[in-house]
Amino acid sequence: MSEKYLISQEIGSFRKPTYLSSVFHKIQGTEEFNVLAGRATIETIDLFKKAGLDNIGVGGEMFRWEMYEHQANRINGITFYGPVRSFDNRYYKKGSITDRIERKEPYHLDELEFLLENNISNIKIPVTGPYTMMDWSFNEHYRDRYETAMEFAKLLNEDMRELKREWDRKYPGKKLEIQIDEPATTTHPDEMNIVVDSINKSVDGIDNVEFSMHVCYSIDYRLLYDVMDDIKIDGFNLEFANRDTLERGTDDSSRPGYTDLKYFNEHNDKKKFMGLGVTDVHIDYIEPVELIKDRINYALKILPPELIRLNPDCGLRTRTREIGYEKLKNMDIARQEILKEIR
Amino acid sequence: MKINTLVYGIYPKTNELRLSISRWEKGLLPDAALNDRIDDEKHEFYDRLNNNEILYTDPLFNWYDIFRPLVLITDGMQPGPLTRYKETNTFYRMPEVSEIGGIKYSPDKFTPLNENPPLPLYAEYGKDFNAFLPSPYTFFKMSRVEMAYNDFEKQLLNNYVQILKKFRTRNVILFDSLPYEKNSVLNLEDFVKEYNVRLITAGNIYKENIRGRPKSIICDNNENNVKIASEISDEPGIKLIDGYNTKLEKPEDIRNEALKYDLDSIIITHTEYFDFLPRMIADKKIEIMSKIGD
Repeated sequence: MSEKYLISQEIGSFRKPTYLSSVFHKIQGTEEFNVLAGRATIETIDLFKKAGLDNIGVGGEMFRWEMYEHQANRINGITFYGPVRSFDNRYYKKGSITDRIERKEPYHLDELEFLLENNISNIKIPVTGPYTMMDWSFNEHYRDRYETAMEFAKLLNEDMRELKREWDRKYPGKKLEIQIDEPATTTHPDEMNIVVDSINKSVDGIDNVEFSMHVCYSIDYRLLYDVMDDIKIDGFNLEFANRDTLERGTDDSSRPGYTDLKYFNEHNDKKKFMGLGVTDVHIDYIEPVELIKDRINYALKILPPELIRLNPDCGLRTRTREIGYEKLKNMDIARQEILKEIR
Repeated sequence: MKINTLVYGIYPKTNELRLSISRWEKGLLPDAALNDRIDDEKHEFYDRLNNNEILYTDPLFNWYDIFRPLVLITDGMQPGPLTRYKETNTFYRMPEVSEIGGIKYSPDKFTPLNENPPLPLYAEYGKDFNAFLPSPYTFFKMSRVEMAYNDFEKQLLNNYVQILKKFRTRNVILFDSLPYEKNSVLNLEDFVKEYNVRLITAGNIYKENIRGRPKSIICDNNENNVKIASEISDEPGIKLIDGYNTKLEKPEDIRNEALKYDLDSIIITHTEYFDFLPRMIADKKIEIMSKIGD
């Protein structure tokens, strides 16, 4: 049985060490920032390796504060007027498009350069997708949402081409993995055409890259599965554990969070892979190995092992580093035991 | 034509107030101190709106969402999972309603709450004050309810009467965030006999949707809506200020749009409560609104 079955991976963010988070905004853009973000990246990668992950993402996104803001800050034409409520007393910065948008600096090149300098190659670079960038921005400039998303797609295409060029310098011929984060996908069910067209424009003409798409907390993944054949990507990394029970078992009633996999499988004509969220990032409860195994075994009744990858539901920055590690560790133990059982 | 303007619902907070609430959440600011801070900011808001001759509700700085404090003070209700508010990136706790019992805490008195800043619901009292309350239709649709709609509506409106009595006002803005279906019925027959109801609707409205004659029906801007609103209420209103976008409207454009209708008077308001905008933009939109009315 190939070790390429049930590949385990990080999904994106991980809690920053206090020495970085406490000064992040004060020192961003300075040499001190690069030193501390680099140190935090290496420490986090070590933690991921210890937990047994096959793919370490970019080491927990230590160079980024937040997925929307990170990119929006690097785009001309976006103005920030102030924070907007997310929930309760939590707020996020939502930019306004006040002029034609263009990249003023690369989004993630510094992060990639750091990883390459340190000879780290089992990576997957998360980038925020064009539909989410559009949906999370106010638009004062473009005609409509379609046009806005396509403009963001154009910028992302430029950025990913740069990432690929940098990668090829170090690892010519080796496939680069990029994960397009699109949490806003399916929030407007009648706009799936915008999702499809804008992602396709983002990846247009970029070869020898494995593209995946991360979506979480969707109201209905079936909206995505209905159009997945039209999206020019290789697979998905989705949240499932959050909508599942904590009960043991591999039948439908024990695993309500994963039953949509049947619909995915029925529509998966192009055999795209599914990154299965097997641990919930919004609870401190550390899912036992046996529960994670039940989730994986349920999925294995529907999909072949070569199409299943394993990941947390979403970025683990919502949890402490200790709890995040324990969740990843149990995910790896469950994976190893199942691989043995399959053999 | 007489043009009135209305600002309703949760208004975005200042950075200072957000920081105060953050300190309160961490246990660093006592309930009473936070209450004083909120009260001060509410009164600054009242003064500003009064000076601009804009109708307004309480800015609800102490409401985490448009249901939360009502849920927390009502027997039989509890806050449920975080849920996306319509198609926005803002979340509310979906009310879970097994039954609608009585009101547990006096809504007009300072009272600490779990999972929400302290009561009172509103900082203002009296005959000129407009209370803000979610309409039973929207409340039901955006909750998980184990009751038939008719029972829910009747008992919720009974509780609303109790709340309004405490604040000694007869003026209430009922807010419907979701559009009616053709066969939806919001039965306000008894309620409008006692209260001056301004009902904010969404989407297309049908005459049969509303029973009872509210003082005002405020609707999305289209001719058919305005025609119905003018027939079944005393003063129609339209939503012309964009509550979802930072782009600033021109007062003369808004005024000209209102003047297209052949009416004695009209209310101009915003498409959504301003909590989805940065505070600075909401303040600018108020300035614009102050230049629209007579």
